[in-house]
Parts: sequence; structure tokens; C-alpha cells
Amino acid sequence: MTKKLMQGQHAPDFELQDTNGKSHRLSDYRGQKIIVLAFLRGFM
Amino acid sequence: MARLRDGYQEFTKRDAEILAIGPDNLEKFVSYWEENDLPFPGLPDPQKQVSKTYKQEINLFKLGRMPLNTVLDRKGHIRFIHYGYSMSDIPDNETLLEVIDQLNASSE
Repeated sequence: MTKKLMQGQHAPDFELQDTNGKSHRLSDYRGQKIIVLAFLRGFM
Repeated sequence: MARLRDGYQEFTKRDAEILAIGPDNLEKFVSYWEENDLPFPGLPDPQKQVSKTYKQEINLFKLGRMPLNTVLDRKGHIRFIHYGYSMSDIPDNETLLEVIDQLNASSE
């Protein structure tokens, strides 16, 4: 089984576009904001 | 999601941003975001690359992805992470805000 991420670890970087086409790169928030990542189940 | 939407001001007040990542495609995301009037960015991840990187769990018996919530400090370290064991096993806002308050209180 895959190993889960743990507290204290560096959060892996990623870049995704939002619903308005704006790009969000996680590392761009560094030094700026606290980030809450919510991974969804998928819409039913 | 409604919970995060209703509490969103409490997060922004604390200089935190919420990024919601899901397996659905852009089209579904756009309509869901409009229907539910969600104020934070919704990030479609139809290739599930980010979901895989973060080890979001898939439970075949429970027919789907399990929720995963994490709080990152300003240096990009994971300060809280919760892998849900059921569809509804999502930390409440108070839990997340408490972590954020602690981060804001500690001199980063």
C-alpha cells in the first residue's frame, strides 16, 4: 500500500487551474498564506 | 464543502486560503462551483495526479475517494493532515482553525 503523507513533511508542489482558468501553484503561496487543502470525493 | 463555504471568512481573517481539489473535470467543477456559490478556488484534477501525490485513498467498497484535508504552514510544511476513513469523516472548521491559530501564534 502507498505510504501516507505525514505531519512535518514538506507538502509536494503542484500546479492546477481553477474554475476561472487561473493557475495556482502551491509554492507561489509560500511565505504568503497558510493553506488548507481539501481533497474532495468527487461530485455525485 | 458547505461547511468550508460558510466558515470561509474565518479562514481568510486568519490569512489562510482554501484550495479544493477534486477528480471531476472542469465542466463539472464549474457547474458545482456556481450552484453552490463557493468562494474559494476549485481545482479540477481529472488526471488525479495531485490526488495520487498526496495519497488520497480510494475505497472500492465505499465506492469512491476518501476525503483528505491538510493544513500547510507558510513554509509549505504539513502541520495537520487527516485521511478520512469514511465519506463524512472530514475535520470540522474548528479543528482546522485551531491549527491555523497555533501557526499564527508561533513566530514563523
